[in-house]
Amino acid sequence: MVRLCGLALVGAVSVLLLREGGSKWSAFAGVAAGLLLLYELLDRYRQILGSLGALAGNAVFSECFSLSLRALGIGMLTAFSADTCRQMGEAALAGRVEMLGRAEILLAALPTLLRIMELSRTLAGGT
Amino acid sequence: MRRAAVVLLCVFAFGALLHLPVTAAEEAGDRSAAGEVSRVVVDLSGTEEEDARQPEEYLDDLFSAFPDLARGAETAEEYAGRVSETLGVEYLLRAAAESLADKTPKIVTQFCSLAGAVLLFAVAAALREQFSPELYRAVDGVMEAGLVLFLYACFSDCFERCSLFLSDMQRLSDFCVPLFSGLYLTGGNVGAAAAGGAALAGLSYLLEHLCAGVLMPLCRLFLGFLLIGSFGEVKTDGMVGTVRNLYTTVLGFSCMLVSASLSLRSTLGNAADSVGIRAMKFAVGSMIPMVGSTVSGSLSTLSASLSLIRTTAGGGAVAVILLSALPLVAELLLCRLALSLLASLAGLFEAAGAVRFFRGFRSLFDLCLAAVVFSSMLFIFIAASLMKCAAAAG
Repeated sequence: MVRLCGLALVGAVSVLLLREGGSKWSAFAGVAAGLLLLYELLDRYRQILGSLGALAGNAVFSECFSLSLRALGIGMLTAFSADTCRQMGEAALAGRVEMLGRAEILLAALPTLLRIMELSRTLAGGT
Repeated sequence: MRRAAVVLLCVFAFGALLHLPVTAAEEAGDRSAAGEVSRVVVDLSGTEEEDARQPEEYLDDLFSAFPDLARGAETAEEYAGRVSETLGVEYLLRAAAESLADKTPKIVTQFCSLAGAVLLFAVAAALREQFSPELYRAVDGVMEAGLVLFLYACFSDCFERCSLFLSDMQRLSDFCVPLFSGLYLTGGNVGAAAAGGAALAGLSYLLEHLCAGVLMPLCRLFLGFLLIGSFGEVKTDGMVGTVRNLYTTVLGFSCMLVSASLSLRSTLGNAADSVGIRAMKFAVGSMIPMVGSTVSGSLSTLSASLSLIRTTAGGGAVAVILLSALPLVAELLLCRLALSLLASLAGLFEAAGAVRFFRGFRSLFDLCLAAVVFSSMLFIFIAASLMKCAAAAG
């Protein structure tokens, strides 16, 4: 945790210094710092997520678990990208990134959603 | 001349009093007792059978609906002993505890898995501030869809077992109509036989139309709506609660009607049967010299034997229902408890979608529990009427 906080502080100071120096690389420094933080976070939680996946012995639960984690991961990446775009002043691009993120989430969940629709039709039809 | 007329009148009255609607003994002719009983049972139940089944075939089909705990008796004495043991409080408590112990590990596992899903919802709720509203809605919808699918996979087999239990109950009711009616008729309880047969037929009708014909399709429909609700903002809580209250009201009203009808008709029928038999006993004891008084003692002995048979049969039926219903009721109660705990846990983490689904599934279990308990209690009531009905010939 100390390492993450130190990385964040270093990134913030770097962006501030570059911005005051009038350099155009300040935005890239901010993106780089964010990516490093994200990488550290995922690296820390990879083992935990692997253990949770191993505990999810039930086939249906492991499918739902992986789907939920995938949706959360896509959401986090989309949010990160959209925030970075807004930080650089590209609000329209941020909106498009979010739209693509929602589409990606729905695509990832499409097999499950089709299965639910088929199940609903079967149940409501009484067969 | 006057004396001859009095003798003729007494003989005519004696013959008229001896003319019972159905007798268990063979009349002069080729008709057997089983055939006579089956004929009267067919008349009482209102069913049409082209070929009369043998009593052994009825018993074989009846035993096929028994749970494993109620089987294994080889002789009548052993069966009576098992019935006596099964109806004891200790045995029932032990069976209930074994059912709970058998179902608990599986439900605990499902509970833990669902609790893990609730924690995922909590993580998503914690990330809500970082996501835009549209993005959060997409993530939340996908997680709800996965949760609903997992809920259905966990508890769908319980609904199927409820449906199977109701089908077994209906089959048991159908096969008990000739059995109970025959036991009533052997003691001269014609009115009670009609009332008991009509009650069992009514129970079978209720099971077929109200429970199996309405409940299970209704549960499937609600499951479908719950699954559809995972796509958007479809709220099914109010609809499920309203139909649940309406269904339990209808079940309770039906139970009251059937039990009141059975009580009144059995009481009136028993009274009428008792009057007829007592008048016959008086006539026989008065008219036939020397041996007429032994008729009363013989009928008392017959009555005692019939009471034993009826009590054993009725107790056996009650034992079968209890041993069939106890594991299912235990499982339904455990599932309901698990869903209540999960709803509370989801509420703590502010996962509103998960709370809605858990409460919806809990309402479905309420419907199934009401149907199972209603049908079991009604059947036990009818069997208890058989056990308590004294033979009119006694």
